Amino acid sequence: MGLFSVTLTLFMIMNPLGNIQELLSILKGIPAKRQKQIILRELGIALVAILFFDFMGEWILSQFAPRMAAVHITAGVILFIVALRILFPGKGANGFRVEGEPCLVPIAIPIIASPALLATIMLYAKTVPNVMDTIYAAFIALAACGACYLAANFLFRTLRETGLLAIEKLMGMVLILIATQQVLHGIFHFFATT
Amino acid sequence: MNFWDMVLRLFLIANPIGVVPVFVALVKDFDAARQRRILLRESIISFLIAVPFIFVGKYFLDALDIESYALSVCGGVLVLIIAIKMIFPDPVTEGGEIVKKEPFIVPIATPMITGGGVLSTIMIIAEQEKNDMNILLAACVAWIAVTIIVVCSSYLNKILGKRGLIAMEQLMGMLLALLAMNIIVGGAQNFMKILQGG
Repeated sequence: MGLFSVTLTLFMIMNPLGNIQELLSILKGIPAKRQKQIILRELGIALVAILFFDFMGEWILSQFAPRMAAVHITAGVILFIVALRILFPGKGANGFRVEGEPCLVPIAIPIIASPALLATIMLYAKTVPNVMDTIYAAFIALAACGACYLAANFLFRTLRETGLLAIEKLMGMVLILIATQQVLHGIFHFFATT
Repeated sequence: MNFWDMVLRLFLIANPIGVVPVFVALVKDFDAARQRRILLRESIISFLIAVPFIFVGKYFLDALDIESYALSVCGGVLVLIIAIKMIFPDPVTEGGEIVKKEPFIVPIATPMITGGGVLSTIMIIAEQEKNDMNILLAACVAWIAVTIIVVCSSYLNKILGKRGLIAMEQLMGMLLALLAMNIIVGGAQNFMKILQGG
């Protein structure tokens, strides 16, 4: 997979445009300047998490040695369910509300560095031929993601709820495509190694 | 490929007539005028999704490393989920009239009108027909027909009545599930061929 592919896929999974509304509701009531600081901090934490899973991914995987097929399918299934929740919203709000200023949870994890993203990073750590590609891709995707979040208020004013909802749904469709492909790749690996 | 060939292909794969009863079931909770508005909007949105695909579909899928069989399987799975939701609708909470959320883009515009099948077909046509504007024109013509049928489906409401609609939702759900499995199996067979070849 080329650098562009990896970057685009990671960016899609991070889904910043789709998460803007959620982000804004979490940051409600906090003064604008502090909001930007929080976002930058959370991006940093997410970066640490991503790098950790990128380098440790190989090690973690070799410790309990799941087959490639299993990792593909797991990443695919998690992403699939994330996409389903976007496309077919269930009742009730997200259960990650904690008192006080958000730190680490829920912005860095799971909004930016979601389990689906981290699983995919681990996957790329193993499968992408050029080791640095995954890291560059993560940096670029994260930077683009950060740009979207820092401009969250502006985007919300411009696109309004309907516009953001439309983007969210379209992103959901793209994610579900990526997820399906991942699961099918996993099945491919399963047969290839049996 | 002949111009009218393309129009016909796009029209048939979008299958507006076949899914009219499904649309009726999906918008049954709203009044007639609103239904027509929703259906018109969804038809336009489905067109707006298909159009960019004509021009950049292939590059987009390549960039994300997605194969054509994934499109089919994905489309099929989505339709299957919709079908199961029709057969087993979400339990209604107590408290009388709940303000139901209007369906937006999903599931009507996509995957029902412009689904995996439409996108796959567009890709196939795009490969054979070098002139993209031609394809766009064919899509316009096909979509005019699609929109007329989709919007008219709300009139089916009056013919069926409330009970008729619920019954039809169940039956259509079942037929849709069959259709979905068909798409999934087709995609899976393409996938298997690649597995065997690879």
